[in-house]
Amino acid sequence: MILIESREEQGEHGGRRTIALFGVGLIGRSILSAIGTSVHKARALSFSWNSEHDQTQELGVIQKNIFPAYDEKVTRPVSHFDIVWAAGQAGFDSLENSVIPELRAFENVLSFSLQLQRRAPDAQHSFHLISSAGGLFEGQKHVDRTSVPRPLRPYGHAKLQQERLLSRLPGQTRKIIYRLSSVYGFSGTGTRFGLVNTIIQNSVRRQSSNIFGNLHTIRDYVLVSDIGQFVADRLRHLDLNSHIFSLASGKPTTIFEMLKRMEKIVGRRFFYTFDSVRKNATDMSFSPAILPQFWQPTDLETGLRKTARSLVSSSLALAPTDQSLFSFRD
Amino acid sequence: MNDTSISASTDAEKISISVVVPVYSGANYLRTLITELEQIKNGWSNGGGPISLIEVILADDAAIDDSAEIADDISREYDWVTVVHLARNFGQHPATIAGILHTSGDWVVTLDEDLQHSPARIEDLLRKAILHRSDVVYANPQTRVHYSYLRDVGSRLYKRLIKLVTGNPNVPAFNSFRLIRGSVARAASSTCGHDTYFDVSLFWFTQRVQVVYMDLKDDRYIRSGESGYNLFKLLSHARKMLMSSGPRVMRTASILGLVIIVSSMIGAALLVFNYLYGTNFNFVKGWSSLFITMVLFSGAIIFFIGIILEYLALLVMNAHGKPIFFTIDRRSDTLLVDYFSKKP
Repeated sequence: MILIESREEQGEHGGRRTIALFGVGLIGRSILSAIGTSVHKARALSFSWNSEHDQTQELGVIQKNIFPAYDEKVTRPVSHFDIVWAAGQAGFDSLENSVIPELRAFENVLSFSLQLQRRAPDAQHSFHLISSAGGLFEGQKHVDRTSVPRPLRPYGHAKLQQERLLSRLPGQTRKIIYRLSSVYGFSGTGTRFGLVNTIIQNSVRRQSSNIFGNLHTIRDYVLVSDIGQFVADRLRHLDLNSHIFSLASGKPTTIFEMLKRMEKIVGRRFFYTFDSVRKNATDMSFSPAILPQFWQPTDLETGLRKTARSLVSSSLALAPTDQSLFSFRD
Repeated sequence: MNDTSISASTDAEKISISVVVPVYSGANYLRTLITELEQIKNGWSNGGGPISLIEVILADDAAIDDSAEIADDISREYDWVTVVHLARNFGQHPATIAGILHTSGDWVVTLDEDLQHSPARIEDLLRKAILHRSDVVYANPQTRVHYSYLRDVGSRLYKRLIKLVTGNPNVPAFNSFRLIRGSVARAASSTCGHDTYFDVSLFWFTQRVQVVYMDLKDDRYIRSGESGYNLFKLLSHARKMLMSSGPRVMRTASILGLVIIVSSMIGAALLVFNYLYGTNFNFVKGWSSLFITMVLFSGAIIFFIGIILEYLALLVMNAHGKPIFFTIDRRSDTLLVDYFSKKP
C-alpha cells in the first residue's frame, strides 16, 4: 500500500491530508499518478494479503506512520483522511475461496478506518471503494437507474458484499463507491495486463491470444487513466456527501469491434482463439444516463492509441534494440 | 448515500430491441416519433411478452435545424434515449453506423426521423425475422412511396441496375427501415470504412434476408417535393455500392479481354485456313493479319488489366474489412418462436 501525505495546508481549518491507498495495480497506480507526486509525499508500506495476523501488525505500522509520536504536539493535525481501496488479487473468474481472503482484508481495513476516526474525531474521513460494475451487473444490458445488482459469480458477490460492509460503516465517514466497467489501459509493468494489452503484446510477439467470450460479446470499456483522474478529483474535492459513481463509457463495444480497431491501430493482423464458455460471453452495457455529470471518458479509439503508445514506450525502454518490432499507425 | 441503483427488476430475460434514428432535419417529427416509440415500449413492457425496447439512439448528423437541441431535451426526459452528436455532417449511412455502434440490443431497428417508417411495424419485422430464421428484414413499400411516377419508377430501375452490376440480389430490397440481428449490425458497422455501403456490408455477414411489404409514404416529399436525394447522391450511392461489391465489375473486364482474345484467335485460324486451302473469304493481304494481331494484343492487355483490377478489388475488399468468417448465435430466437406462433 502507499501512504500519501500532502505537504500543503488544505481545507478550511488547515492541517494535513493523508491518503492511504490500498492496492497498487492497474487502477491504484493510475490514481497515484493522477494525484501527482509534485504536491504529495508518498511512502510504500507493506500490507499482506494472506495472513490476517500480519495485516493487523501492518495496519498498526501504517497508523504509526500517520500519527508519529510527536504529531499532535509539533505538527498540524491531520484534517482529512482518505482511505482508497483499489486492492484485489481476485479476478472475474476467481472462485469463492480466492475472494474470501480479500473480503477479510477489506474488513480489517474498515476496522482500521474506525480506529482512525476514534483517533482523530474532528478530521473529515472518507472511504473510497473501487467496485466493479461488471461484477455487479453481469449479463445485464443497458443498466440504468432502475437496475439492481445481480452478481453471477463469486467476484461480483464479493464486490457487492464490500459495498454493503462499507455502507454499514458507522460514524461520519464519507463513503464513495466507484463502480467500474471493463478497465483497459497501461499503468506500468508488473500489473494485471488485461485484454487490450495482452492482445497488443501478443501481436507484437506474433503469438496467439485466447479470448474469453466470443466475437459478439458486448462490453463497456473505460480507460484506466480516466478512472485515476476521476478518483483523484474526488480526493481533492471537499464534498461531505456520499456517492455511488458508475464509471462506464456508456458505449457498448463488441469484441469484434475492439479487435478491428486494434488491428487498424497496431497495423497487424491478430491471431486469436475463443474460449466460448457461455458464462464468459454474457453481454453488459450501461446507459449513458447513469454516468456522473462531469465524467468525460476518453473515446475508445483514442484510448486504444494511448494504450498502444504507452505499451510501445515501456517495451522500448525495456528493450531498446527491439525497435523494429514495434510500429503502430497514428 | 446517493445510490444510483435502486429497486425494480430489469428485462434481462427478454429479447432486447435497440432503435437507431439518424437525425438531420427532424425538428418537427422527433417528439412525435419518441411518443410513438414510447407507446411501443410500454406496450411490450405491460403486455408481458418476451420483447423489450431498451434504448433509442438518436444519431445527430450535424442537423441543420433544432433537432440536436430537441434530441438533447428528449434524452434528459427519457433515460432510454441516448443522443450521439456527430462532429460534422457525415451522411445518413455513417450516422446510422455510429448509432448502431452505440447499441447493445439483441436486434437493432433503423428508421428515418420523419415518421415515414411507423414504429408500430417493428413487431412485424421481428415476426418475419423469427419465423423465417432471418438476420435482416427490410421494410419495402407495397404502394408508391413518393406519389411521383418518375421518382418511384426511377428508384426501382436504379436498384435493378445496381443489382445487375453488383450481383447482389438484395439490392432492390435495401431500405433504411430495417431490422438487423444485433451481432450482425454491430459487426457490419465495425467493418464499414469511409466508402463501404452499409447494406452491402450486411451481406458479408448473412444471406438470410427477408422483406416485409407495408405502406411507406414519404410525406415530406409528397408535401414539399423536397427529397434528401438528388442525382449526385444517387451516383455517389451507386459508386459506393460498386466499390463495396467486390471484384465482380472488374471480372467483366477480364472476361471481355478473354472474349476478344478468343475472337482474334478464331480470326487468325480462319486467316491461316484461307491461306492454306483458299476460301471465299475476301481477306486483304497484310491488312487482315495486322488487324487480327492488334485485336489479339488489345484483348491480352484488357485481360491483364482486368486481372490487375481484380487483385486491386480484393485488396480494397480487405481494406473494407470483409471478414473471412463470422459466427452467429440464433439460440435466443426460440424465446420468440413460441410468442409469435401463438400470437395472431
